[in-house]
Amino acid sequence: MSSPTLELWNAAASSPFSPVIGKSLHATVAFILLAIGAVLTIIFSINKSLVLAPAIAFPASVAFGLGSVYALAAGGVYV
Amino acid sequence: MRSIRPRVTLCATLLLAASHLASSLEVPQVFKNTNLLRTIDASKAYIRETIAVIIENTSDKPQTEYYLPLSVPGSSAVSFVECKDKKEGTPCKAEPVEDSSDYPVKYYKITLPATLKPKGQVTLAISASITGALEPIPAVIGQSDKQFLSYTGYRYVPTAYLTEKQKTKFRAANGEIPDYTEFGGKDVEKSGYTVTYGPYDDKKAWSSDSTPETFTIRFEFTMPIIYMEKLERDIEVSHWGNNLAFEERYWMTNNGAKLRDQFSRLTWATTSYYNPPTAAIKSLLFPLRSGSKDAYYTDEVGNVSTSKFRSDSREAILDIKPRFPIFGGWNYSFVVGWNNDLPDYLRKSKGDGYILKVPLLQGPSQSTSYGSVEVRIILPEGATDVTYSAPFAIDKEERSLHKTFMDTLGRTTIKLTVNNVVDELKNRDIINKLAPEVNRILFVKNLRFVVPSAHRVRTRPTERTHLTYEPPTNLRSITSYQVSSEELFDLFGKFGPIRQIRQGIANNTKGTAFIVYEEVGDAKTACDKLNGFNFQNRYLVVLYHQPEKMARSEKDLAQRQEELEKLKKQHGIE
Repeated sequence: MSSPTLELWNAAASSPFSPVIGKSLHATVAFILLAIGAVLTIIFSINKSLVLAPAIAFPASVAFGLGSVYALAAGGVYV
Repeated sequence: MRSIRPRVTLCATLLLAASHLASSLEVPQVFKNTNLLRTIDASKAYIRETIAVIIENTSDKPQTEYYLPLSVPGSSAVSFVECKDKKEGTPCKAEPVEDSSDYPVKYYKITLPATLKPKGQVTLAISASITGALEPIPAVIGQSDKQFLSYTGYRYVPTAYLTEKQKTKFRAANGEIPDYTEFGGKDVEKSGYTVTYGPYDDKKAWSSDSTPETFTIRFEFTMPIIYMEKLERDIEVSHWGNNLAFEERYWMTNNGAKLRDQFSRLTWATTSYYNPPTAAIKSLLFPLRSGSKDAYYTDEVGNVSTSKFRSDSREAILDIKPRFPIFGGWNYSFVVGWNNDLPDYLRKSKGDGYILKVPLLQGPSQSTSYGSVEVRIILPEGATDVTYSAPFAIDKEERSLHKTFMDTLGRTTIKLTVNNVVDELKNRDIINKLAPEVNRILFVKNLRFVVPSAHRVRTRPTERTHLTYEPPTNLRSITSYQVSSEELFDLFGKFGPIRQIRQGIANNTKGTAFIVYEEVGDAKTACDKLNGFNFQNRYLVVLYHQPEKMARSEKDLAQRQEELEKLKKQHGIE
């Protein structure tokens, strides 16, 4: 009783999906990323300039974005 | 008298044959049924019909197509038909013939697993589930009254070919069968749970022009008839959260006998102490896959706190109690949901892409039938080229994008709709295969779901296979010394269908009995309810039968005895 798909599934037994960050680390990673985001935002708000934008503002928004995804996951909302 | 009647029927059939063939399906008469045994199992909330038949090719050409009519009178409908070669175990294809002119039967075309040579014989095992064939009589009962169901079927099995020998076995939910058609007492036998009709010799093929004889059986049914008018099931893959989320929204009805008077809370509360069998839905038990967590149970009002969730490495069971008992004709809608870790269900395919394998239908352990089931599989954003392989026939498939917050395009979603489903199909997996393609913002590698044609992931999930991942279902009880097995059947059968009862007769096993239930949920209820129950002036001790634990305790005993001997020697005691 097997089929091509089932064989494919069995063949992939050794390679289960591996997440970038496991469930147990969600809260920690979210906290670190949000903290980085907050710190960089504060630094940028003190001295707003176009030159600093790619160096500080851009990483801050990336950290905020990814941080909020993991913050939601840590809270049980798996987006 | 008996020998004349078939001949009369035969003549009538021949006379009407010409007009019949013109109006309905013409089945080439290339087979004959050498021996046929039909089992109608009414121990669930729907009918399970099993036909074991030896067919013989009577033509001079090899044949592959066998036709089978199934009776679906009134509002009943066939949920699914499965067929296999009984000896080899190879499955064969069974598909409905789209021809409505033959009501009240529905023809199925069975493609034999191998071409049958002239004069060749093969044994087929065909099983079908039929919903809506059981009718509560009386239709209205009191709150603590017994519920009786009635089933009407054809005395002779409708077949497309001549049947040389046939027999029909009807299996009721328990031994209480107050009425059944006796046909003058000939060829009818009732013993315990079953009523047998036959054997009958040389019956002609089914003809829609003649009026076939029917039998009616009325039997006690101590369980509710759980019918889910609609089930919406969402399976959501979150690769960011490493999570697979399940959510099920149920619209439930009890299709049993309706409640006559107003519901009396007082009567309910006083009798619930004795836990009598009831036709009301008191609780539902959801056996989930092991590793499930974060279960929740809500309804329109909000969270319902009368639920238990137990999850360990071996199993996960969600036991919910609705806010009120659901009597016949009453409705209740609720939501249950839980999470699983994604790596158990999602694998990276050898080539590129991913494969997802999830159960298409789960649901309560109590026998249930479903009006329509809508399963939505929500895949990560950017998943493309998704194909699937479903474990049973899907009626409708829709693809769309499902937008939640933080999505830009929306997630790839497949909605599968199946109508008229029975719980026998649950726990079969659907496999989605995804080929690779660059995912936008989220996945770096990405997903493309590909899934080939339909197949069966498992063999037909009989209760036995179902039990393989369930806890031990055997119940052990210490009973009074003069108890007949009928009395035990009566008592323990109130909680669900029993497969087997074994009573100890040796001196050291006297007063004990092993009761094996078909369903683990029933065993659990029986254990809960009957432990400490006063039965024939003795108190019952009901335990789960756990062979490993018993073996362990025996070993312990031997070890302790050895130690005792040692100590005795040390201290010089004889």
